[in-house]
Amino acid sequence: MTGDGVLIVGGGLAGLRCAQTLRKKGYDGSIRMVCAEDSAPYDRPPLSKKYLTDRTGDIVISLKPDDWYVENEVELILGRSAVELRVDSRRVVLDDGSTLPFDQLLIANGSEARSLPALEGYENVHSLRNIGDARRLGPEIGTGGHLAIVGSGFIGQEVAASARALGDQVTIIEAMPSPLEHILGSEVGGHIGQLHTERGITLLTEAKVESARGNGRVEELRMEDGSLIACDTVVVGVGVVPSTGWLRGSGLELDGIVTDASARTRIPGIFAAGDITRSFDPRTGKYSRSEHWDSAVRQGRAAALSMLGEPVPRPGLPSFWSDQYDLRIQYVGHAELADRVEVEVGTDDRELSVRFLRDDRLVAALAINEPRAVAVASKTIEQTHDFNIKSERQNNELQSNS
Amino acid sequence: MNCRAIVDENSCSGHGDCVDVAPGIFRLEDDIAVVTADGPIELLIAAAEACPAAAISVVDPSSGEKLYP
Repeated sequence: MTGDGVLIVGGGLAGLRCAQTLRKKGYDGSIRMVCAEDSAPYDRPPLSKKYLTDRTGDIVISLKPDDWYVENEVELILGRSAVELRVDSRRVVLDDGSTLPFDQLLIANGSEARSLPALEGYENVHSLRNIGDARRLGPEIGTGGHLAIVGSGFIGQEVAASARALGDQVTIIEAMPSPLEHILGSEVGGHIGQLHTERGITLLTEAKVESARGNGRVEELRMEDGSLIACDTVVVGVGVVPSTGWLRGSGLELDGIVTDASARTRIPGIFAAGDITRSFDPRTGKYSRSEHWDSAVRQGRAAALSMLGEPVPRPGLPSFWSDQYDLRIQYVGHAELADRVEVEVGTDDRELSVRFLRDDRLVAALAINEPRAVAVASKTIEQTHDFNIKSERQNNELQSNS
Repeated sequence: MNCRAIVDENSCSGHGDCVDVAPGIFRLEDDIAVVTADGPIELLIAAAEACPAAAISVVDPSSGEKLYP
């Protein structure tokens, strides 16, 4: 240790949870956080919901009040981005040319929205990742216009629900046959699509945007099948890519930084947490990206414990939730492992409970307005310490040995 | 009958929704919800149902019977 302390690159939830855990565990060295935006860490989920549609300016989404950072001696470096990691001299270079030395580094600067080349350069084409995006998009929501949303992931669905609730005409354009099909399969994807169409949204599936027409602003989207969609505003929600550009040449993986279950990267003293990682899951034996709140929290905490040399608890199950209309969608587990899906539609059509099974064992659950179903499933899946993929792994190993 | 909520620390992500539902029962201690009092079953289950991470269980403290989930 040289007294340079902990440096956190990224001003989001993962970085904040790391700082909080360090202080809670009694770490008394310096902690500095480099935040690309001009705001202290804030809560992102409201950006597609109440923050987006707020007209009062009174909605506070900061995760901690400003004086928390003073009391806990966490120094925020606002409005600065990292541009280079110098592994050998243990320094990070910022976009103003300054360099920050560190003993231990947490990389937690997240991800950025994937863009569509055909829609670049138009002023009414939006993505939604941060406060600035929400402030630009907000005024275009609730105007009674026609909103076209490209991509039916959670961001697209939540923006659709927020805009619909304010009376906008909304079209969702999805390349796959149903929303979230790659994660949840076609049956569940179909149900989720129906939630939106029943609420007045036009859902176009297996549909792709070919080009846009308009002068400065998109006025019409031309689809690959030749049809045209007139629109006033376009939101693109087609996934995110890890913000690793500044790590070029560092030896870390640019398609998602590989970490173990304790948030350690391949370089000693350098940790990563949140959207930017590709982390190891001991239950599946695989590395995966998970761009959700709960992963950011767990990995941020794990990084702090690892920095202090303390044991890191076994990571919880992947989980996420999404609030839309009067619905709460909750998910837990590993649907990608399932070989069978059981769907139960509730007495009320706003309720849905889905069980994902592998070899008749529960591996994941999704429920809409059925929190108890998710809680029960979560407890059951938690008890599975290894998803039987071991046999598959062993088989593979046997095959490769023979 | 007063019931008891239990927060699974490893699952709790500190959303704080339980505190919004039942402020007299839950408190956020840094980033984790802690239980500060026992309370009526309806209130505790409402808080447990509001938890996006499904981290809250409810038990009968005298018998240990599991009431939620």
